[in-house]
Amino acid sequence: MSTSALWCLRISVAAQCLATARTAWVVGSNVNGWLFMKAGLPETVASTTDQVATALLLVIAASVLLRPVRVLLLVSAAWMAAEALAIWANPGTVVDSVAPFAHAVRIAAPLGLAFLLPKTKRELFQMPPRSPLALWILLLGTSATFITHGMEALQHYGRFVDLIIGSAKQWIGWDLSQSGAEAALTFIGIHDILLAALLLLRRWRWVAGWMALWGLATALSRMTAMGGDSWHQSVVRIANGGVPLAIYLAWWQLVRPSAPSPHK
Amino acid sequence: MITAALLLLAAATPQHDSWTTLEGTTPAQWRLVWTADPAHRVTVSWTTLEEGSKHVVHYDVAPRAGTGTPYARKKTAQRNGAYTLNKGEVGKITGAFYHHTRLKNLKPSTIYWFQIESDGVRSPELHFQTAPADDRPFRLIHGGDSRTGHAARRQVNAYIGLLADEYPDLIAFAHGGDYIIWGELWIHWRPWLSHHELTTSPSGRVLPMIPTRGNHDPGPLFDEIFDDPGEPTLNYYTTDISSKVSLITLNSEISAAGDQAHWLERELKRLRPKRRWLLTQYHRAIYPAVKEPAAMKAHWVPLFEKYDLDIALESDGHSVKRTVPIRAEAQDPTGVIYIGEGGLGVPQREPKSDRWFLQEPGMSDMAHHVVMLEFGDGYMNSRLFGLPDSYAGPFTPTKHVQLIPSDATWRYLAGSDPEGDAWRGSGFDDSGWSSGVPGFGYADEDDVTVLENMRSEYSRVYLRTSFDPKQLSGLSDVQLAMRYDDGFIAYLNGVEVTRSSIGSGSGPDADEIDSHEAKEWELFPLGSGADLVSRLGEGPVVLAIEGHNKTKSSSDFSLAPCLVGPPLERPPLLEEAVILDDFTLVPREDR
Repeated sequence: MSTSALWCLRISVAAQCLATARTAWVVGSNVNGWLFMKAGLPETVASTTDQVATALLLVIAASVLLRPVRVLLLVSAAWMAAEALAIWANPGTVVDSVAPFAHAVRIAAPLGLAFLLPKTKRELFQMPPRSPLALWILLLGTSATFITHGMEALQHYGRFVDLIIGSAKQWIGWDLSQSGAEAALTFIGIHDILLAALLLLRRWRWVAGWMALWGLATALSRMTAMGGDSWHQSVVRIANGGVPLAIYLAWWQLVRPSAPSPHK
Repeated sequence: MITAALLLLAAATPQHDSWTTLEGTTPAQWRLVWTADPAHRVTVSWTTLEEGSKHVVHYDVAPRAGTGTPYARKKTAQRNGAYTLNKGEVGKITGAFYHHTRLKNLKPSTIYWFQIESDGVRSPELHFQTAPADDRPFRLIHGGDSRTGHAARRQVNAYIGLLADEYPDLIAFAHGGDYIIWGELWIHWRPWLSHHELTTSPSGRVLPMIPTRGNHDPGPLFDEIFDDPGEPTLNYYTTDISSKVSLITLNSEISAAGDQAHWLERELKRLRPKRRWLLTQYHRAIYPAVKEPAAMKAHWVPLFEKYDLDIALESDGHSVKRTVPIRAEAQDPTGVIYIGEGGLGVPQREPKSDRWFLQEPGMSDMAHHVVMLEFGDGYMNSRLFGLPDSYAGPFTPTKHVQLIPSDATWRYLAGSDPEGDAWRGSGFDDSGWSSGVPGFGYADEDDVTVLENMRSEYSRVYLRTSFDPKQLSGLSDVQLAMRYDDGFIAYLNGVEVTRSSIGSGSGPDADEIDSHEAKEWELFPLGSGADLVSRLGEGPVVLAIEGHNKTKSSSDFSLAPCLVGPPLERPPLLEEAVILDDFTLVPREDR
């Protein structure tokens, strides 16, 4: 995998750790919600868990930029998985039953990076090692998230409708109707599922590139629709674009027959 | 004070889940629903376990039960059907049937007495009051989040029932959503509906509900239970509670920016010039005391502020709050006040009281609560009734059904070991053993039966007592509560049921004993009463316990057992509530 791809992953993981830490600190994580509401533990226990998680995530964010540590990356992946499972186990919306799939790319980013880490300090600034396993983790994580979001879009999930209407209003002053937004979501749903299928089955490099652009655009839609106060909601989704971008960069510079490689 | 305490103790019996048992075609789980035009209309809804064929509401403007005079009017249910079972529930649980009778052409501000009849089986006589069509004063209560904490939910519901009798001008109950854990499951709605019966006042007064859909209430059951408030799945609508007060119910679980926002703007534009008080209720908090602002904020708040909404009633946060008046993200006397935010049973969260909109003159707190809004002559008053959380906090045996109380007398053997295992069972003669009251042990000053010579002499104590298995009848769960130092093994009729801090073996052969300090009571579930009866039979049941110290030289030893059932509940008392907030607002034209 290329150095640029590795840096792309490192930045994505650091950013999502920061945004996740912010949420845990300011309003409480999903794990907090599960511990308090579902497991029936005292709120102090749930809050302490969040405080520990916040500290850890901040350390991981710094570490991943300065000197990534495999164990910390695995901890980060475990926390992202715990968050997704907590949503699944303590659902609050109709789409929460698929949260582990929707969050797959957030889990895949630190997990894949953990398998890509160089073994020596010197290698850190050199061409990173090839890891078919890591690439598969990234591919599967990206595809799972896109397919899940695609299915939610096909169901005209209300939050997605509002992201489209809100973004259209904010950016082009267009008062898009609900039926118009729902028609767009039908197209987006098919588009997302198709991209995920092409990424897995055809492994076309341009598909990864387009998914990177689209993933970043959808992450940014939280801010474009709801304003700058929602920055953390965009940043926590940075892997939606960051991971396909890493795949694109990896395929751009290196083709390895034994790994899941691009068809040109 | 002493009398009040005795009354509380006397009332400390298990509280019923509901007024009626769901069986056959007995009308149960009744509720009234208001949407549009509550001065002239109400929907009477109920549940039967069996489908039945004839479902009728009898009603009149005077009580008729027991008078020999028939009700003047009756109406057959227009909508009947089976509650939708989730695919995971089909074949595993028993379903039930809903019935809705929509009464029209009622007189405003009138008390109606009614009985529900399904296939000849009648409910108790109940009554409600229609909304005023004029500008007379009235009260409304609001609350949300009753999805967990069933004991607290029953308590709050019973308290609402008391309020309904205490305040004759209290006419409705607006529910902010999150009734249950997951709205697609009938097994969650079924107890909620029975518990909702407890909001019926002791005199039989039923407060019509104005329901909101919460994020935990997806699926078709919400519409089947409340007869499609607004329109099916959309569930946003306006209730004109008097000629001068309107409540707009919104749905935070569907698109907020699309059709709903356009409808909201039309309603606000239409109503504002005509109403003195304009309110809204929805589930997710826009100015939350706990969570992030809800996503609808960008779409709804500009409309609230443009059309000078007075009050927004919010839920979801599991805390108590009243914001300062807010306009353009700043405190402004002309702004909107947000009140909430969910305390009909759910465990309460610590509010983030440093948020700017919760500062004085706003407030935040945590308690199970209901909000009472009084619309008087030239004012609106909001009072937050906080209920004491009697059954929260550390385990206390006296707050539970007691099978073997914590101060029961036990037979005990100290200083030697019984022969064999017979001592654990029911046929053993323990008349040669000593008698004492827990806790058994020495040091730490936490024992009643002090075993002075135990230190350095021996490390094991054996206890026996018995109870009548008839006591187990109907108990949903039975638990052994223990305070112990260091370990124990418990037996029911000779069969080991639980152990702690002892790895293997028993009696003198016990091994791998860990250190353990006796602090708070620790609970060891033994199963439901029915399970235990089936395992233990009908004769007296012997509970035998062996307590172990890790070493003879240990600095202390404690063994204090009791056997308990579910928590006791008692009906709340009206005067128990704490007024968490009392706030009065004058109409905009007078400010």
